[in-house]
Amino acid sequence: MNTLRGERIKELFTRYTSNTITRTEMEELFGYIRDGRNDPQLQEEMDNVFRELSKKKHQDPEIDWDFMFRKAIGANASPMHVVTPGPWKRFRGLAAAAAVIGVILGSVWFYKNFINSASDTGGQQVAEQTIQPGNNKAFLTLADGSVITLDDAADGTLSQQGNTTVIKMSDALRYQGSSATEGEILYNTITTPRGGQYKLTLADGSIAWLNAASSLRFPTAFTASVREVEVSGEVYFEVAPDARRPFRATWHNGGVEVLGTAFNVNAYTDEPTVNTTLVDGSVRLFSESSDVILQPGQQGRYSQSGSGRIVVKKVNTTRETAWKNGFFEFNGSIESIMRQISRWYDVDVKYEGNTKDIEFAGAVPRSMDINSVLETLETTGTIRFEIKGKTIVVKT
Amino acid sequence: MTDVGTYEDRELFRRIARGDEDAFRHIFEQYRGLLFAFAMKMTGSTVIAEEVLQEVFIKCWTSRTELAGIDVPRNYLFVITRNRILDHLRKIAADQRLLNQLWIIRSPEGDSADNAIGLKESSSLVEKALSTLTEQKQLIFRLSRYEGLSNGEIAEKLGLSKSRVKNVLVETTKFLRQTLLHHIEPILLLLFFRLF
Repeated sequence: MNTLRGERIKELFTRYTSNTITRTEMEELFGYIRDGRNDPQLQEEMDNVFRELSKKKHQDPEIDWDFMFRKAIGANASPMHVVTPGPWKRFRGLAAAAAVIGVILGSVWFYKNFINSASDTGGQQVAEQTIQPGNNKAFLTLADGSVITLDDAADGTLSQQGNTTVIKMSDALRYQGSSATEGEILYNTITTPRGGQYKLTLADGSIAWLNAASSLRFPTAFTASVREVEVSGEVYFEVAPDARRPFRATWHNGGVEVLGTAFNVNAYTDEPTVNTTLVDGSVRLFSESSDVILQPGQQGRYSQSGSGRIVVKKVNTTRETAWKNGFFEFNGSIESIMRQISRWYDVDVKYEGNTKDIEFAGAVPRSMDINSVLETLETTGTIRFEIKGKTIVVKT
Repeated sequence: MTDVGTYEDRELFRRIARGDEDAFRHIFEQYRGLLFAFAMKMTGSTVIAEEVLQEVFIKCWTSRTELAGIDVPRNYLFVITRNRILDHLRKIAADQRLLNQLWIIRSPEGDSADNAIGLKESSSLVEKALSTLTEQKQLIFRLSRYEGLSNGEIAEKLGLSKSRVKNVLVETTKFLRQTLLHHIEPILLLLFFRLF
């Protein structure tokens, strides 16, 4: 058990049980829960909670104990009735106060495809014609050059890379190795296409989320004194703490060096700037010409075409990493929004008329089909879209 | 974790192993408060805590023959409860929707601006948010809000405990309210575009 990770889990666990945990920390803690290797420690933490509770008197909560007892001993085990839903009075009272209408208007689109609900029926025909959002898919290139497609590979062990086992679990990939050993360093590369995203746990326990049209090249085991990976596109990292071996992520014109932290790198070459956002911990960000230490909540930004001078500013990290939680965070020009759309829906974009000066702000779930997203943007009345096959035409 | 009660509990466990329902009731009444508090502390959801306890006691009774050999009944109950809780947490960890729901259920209730959205009314917003919940929860909510059934009637109809129905309604209402309130704000901004 990595003691630093152990301490972190303990800390998160305490905050969880005392209900002082933040959303990001809770995501982190549940990441550790998902990762089966931490079970012994989680059990130990739960032991402590139980021991503390045992010392106290407990009020009998308002639970139907009789029901529970009877069900346990199998007496009168109530059969599960199948109930067919009645005709819900669907639109009763929709004539709400005028003030609410705006809320509803904006939100109808929001909820239109909030979750691709399995229970949703009747959408079949539409689905054939509309451009669907991206999903979890990627290609994995192994050290010998062979390529595995990750959306259709069955769950389970995919490959053995040196001493490391590559395991696919539903929508994520995990590298699990015997602890760092000597030997040849093997490199694998995971690549997401446009319309794809993927999550990967590296051999040191660090987690990387790849946004669409991105890639990550990494060693299958971290045997060197520096944990080094190469990024293109956009990747969110939660780096497992290891004070002895810094973690370095580099891209075409820069990089970061960290000990243990969570940060997002947006280094798409078609974006005007490279943005590195620090959520937690501390990182040293470097471009080709300068470097800077980022504090949590700060973003370091430098121009793709300029001198590499880094500008640091305070940002809303939730917004900057919204994609990881399933949202587009639209904030800026229509061109910047359309670049995100083009990567996620795998579409090309053309512009007609002067669209330069139109800006938007807002968040939209990435699970929506493209029509709903474009309709939402159209509700502002400043812009129109036309879909021609796989090309979106933006018009004023 | 040996204490004075251990000897007595061991005797009760032996009786349960022979199929003695009174002994089982004794253990049930003695430990339900503590185990519930434990499940509550670990999940923050009354609905999940009740589910955990139901599973624990079903497991106790169905594998009662094993109980004769248990040295420290308290530890036995703790371990199976802990494992059930971990199962639930793992399930949540593997599903972003469940994690989101748990986060909302655990977070303190905001102010009461919630009345702006009449949850009692059916609307496409409520429907969409509802559709992210399990079918059972949706059904409970609908039977209560749209069909006007009482908690007792719903419990009867679905073969659930009254407390489960009540707590599902409490948690679902909180989930819908928070979801509608907090997720609406950003989208509203879209309506107020900026033109430079």
